[in-house]
Amino acid sequence: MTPVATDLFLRNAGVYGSEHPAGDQLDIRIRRGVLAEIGRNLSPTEQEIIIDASGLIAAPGFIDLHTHLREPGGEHSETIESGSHAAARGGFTRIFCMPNTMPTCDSTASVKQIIDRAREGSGVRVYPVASVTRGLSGEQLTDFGALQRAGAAAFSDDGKPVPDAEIMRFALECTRDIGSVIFDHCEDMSLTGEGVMHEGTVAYRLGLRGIPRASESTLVARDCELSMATGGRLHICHVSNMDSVEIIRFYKSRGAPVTAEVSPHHLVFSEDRVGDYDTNAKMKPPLCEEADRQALITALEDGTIDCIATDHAPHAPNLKADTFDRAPFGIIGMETAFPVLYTNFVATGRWTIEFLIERMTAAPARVMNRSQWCGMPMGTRPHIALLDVETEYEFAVDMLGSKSRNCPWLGSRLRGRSVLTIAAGHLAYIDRQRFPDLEEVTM
Amino acid sequence: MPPSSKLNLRRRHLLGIEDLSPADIVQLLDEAQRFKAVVGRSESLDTLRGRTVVNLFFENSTRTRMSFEMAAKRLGAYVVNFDVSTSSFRKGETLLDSIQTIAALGADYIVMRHASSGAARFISPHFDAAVINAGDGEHEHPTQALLDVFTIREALGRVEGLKVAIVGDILHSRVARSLIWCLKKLGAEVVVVGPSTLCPVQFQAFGVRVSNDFESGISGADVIYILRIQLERQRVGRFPSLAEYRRMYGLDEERLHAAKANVLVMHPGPVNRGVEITDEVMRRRNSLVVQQVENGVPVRMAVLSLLDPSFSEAR
Repeated sequence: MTPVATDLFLRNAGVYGSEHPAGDQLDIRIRRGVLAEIGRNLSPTEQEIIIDASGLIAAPGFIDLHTHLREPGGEHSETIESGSHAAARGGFTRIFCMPNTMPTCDSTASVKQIIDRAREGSGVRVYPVASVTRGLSGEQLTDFGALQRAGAAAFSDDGKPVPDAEIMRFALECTRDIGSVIFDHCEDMSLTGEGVMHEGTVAYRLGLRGIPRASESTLVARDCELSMATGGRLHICHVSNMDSVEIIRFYKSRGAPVTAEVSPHHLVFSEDRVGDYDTNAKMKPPLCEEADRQALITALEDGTIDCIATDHAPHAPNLKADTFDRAPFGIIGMETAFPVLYTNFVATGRWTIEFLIERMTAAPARVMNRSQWCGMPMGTRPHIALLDVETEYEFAVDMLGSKSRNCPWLGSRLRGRSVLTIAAGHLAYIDRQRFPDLEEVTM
Repeated sequence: MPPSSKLNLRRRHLLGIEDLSPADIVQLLDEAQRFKAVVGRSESLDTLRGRTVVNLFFENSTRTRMSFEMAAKRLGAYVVNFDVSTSSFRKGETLLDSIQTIAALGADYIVMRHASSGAARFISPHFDAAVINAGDGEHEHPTQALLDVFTIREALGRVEGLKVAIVGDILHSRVARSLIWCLKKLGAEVVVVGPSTLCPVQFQAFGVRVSNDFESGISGADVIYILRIQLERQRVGRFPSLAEYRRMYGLDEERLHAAKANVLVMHPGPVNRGVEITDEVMRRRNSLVVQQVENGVPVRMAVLSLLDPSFSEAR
């Protein structure tokens, strides 16, 4: 047993997000769980545990604005604890969890319960998102002020839209008054109908009901217009197609207080990934066409889309082992987000590592207007992901922290992953093969 | 009956026409032709003696199930019918639960109809048996396409170079999908005809012409294939009314004048009389509806005899 690690010394990492030039080879000193010093050729003290970070990258812990932790009510698929493990595995240290649990997170008691359960965990910060309407009914607004005071970080009816435009308008005005934000799942359910995948040639070939692009884009247009009119902060979730991108671009150019996120799977897959009815390619919004994928990549690059968010959606294996039309929508994504994006965009030379880290850290912090989450501020409990981007490996089940297995990248060759995740000064994840002497300990 | 010239298709399952090669299809049609010549002349063949065929129908279908049953019995097989829509299999069970039970009972051939697209492919790895798709949702109905193409070849002597117009709800039709693949693989020209809500222009990607106008769609066709209009499959009306459908896309005597004089008319049944096709057209000499039903048995005999339940497919 190693002693309780109150003091850590990360030696010789390529550091991103500090005051120093990006990528500089530096040492990081953490004293009594607080970030004490970042600099060149520091000397470790005797009580500090030295971690050899040569060849590794130290980045600020990733922020995920969009996860489903399923607790309460769906504990067979995920819990706050297992979801936090999944986050730490993926280098995420601050995650937002959506309110479509059973019961819905629409009361101060529910918000506090999530915060209490998260406190027992690994140090990964869990930010509850409360619902916009009670029971996700789309009818009666929740008590935004009380929920915010209890700890609700944002509001969303994710999984469903708020169908009534006037209710959405009032929700935007009320959340504007308290300085909060609405995370908007844009989907016109009447256009989705019985659709289970993108309406295109793959759906036609497989005989599956299609979801047209307009199911998303019409609601994006409506809610951007309402945001513009009210000044209410709107964050568009998991943008999936080129029409939505153009609408967001238009409203941003007019100064609407709108931000947007995109999920890794929409950046790397198109409708073809459904193959012969692969239920791990079934999600909402659905994978669209190659032209949509290209539009999403460009939009993330030019800032039309602000940040990356996983939409981590665990479903127990027995639920996904069904015919495509009956299997639930969604895939898990926290463990694979960085590896998949690194492999597809950084290793190929399209993006710099700096750009990818920015879109997973400072960008979501800006969306939430939390400048204190940016970078590696001294004197705070640090959030750091130590990343190995050199080793190529096969992504395997034992690399998942989630209770679920609905991951389309199992068996894929990937590069880049967190080998050590420090969340609020806690060692939230340790790759035991690389660091056999470290223990998961509270600092 | 003389022995088959080829042993089998070197495949275990028949999940769809899309997977088959043109040579596979021709082999099946030729074998069906040989079976048709002997059907009724002998009591029973012994091709499948000692084998068990399980008919697993999660959706009701009297004609397809009976046709498979007759085909299997003529080949000397034991036939077990599971009519799942009326059994206790449904209650709270997933498809995987149901088929694991049946797999444990042992069978050589599973003939399955299910309301979900992809259901036959989904179950195929869970059986040691050959899986024959008897209709999966809105995806494929391969034996229907085979019997249709068999009927066309029998009537006109060939398939290659023919022009076939398929009329109706292409979008939701498993019959249409299988027929399109089958005709295209054998070199026919295919036009799909219907309102764009049921016959989207994107079907062009499959090498067919799409026409939203009935007259120009069927013009020059050697065969007009009328699909059953399946109102039960539509959540909301994709078309204003049945009367409007009949007016725009129904086949009647007058409409037939727009086609070639000797055009053949087909329909997979059961017919909504007076909606997609009139009684008069159905009763015409050039209607092949009766032959289609009749040819179902030899075609399904060919499928059962040419699949190899012990063939190991590397997938």
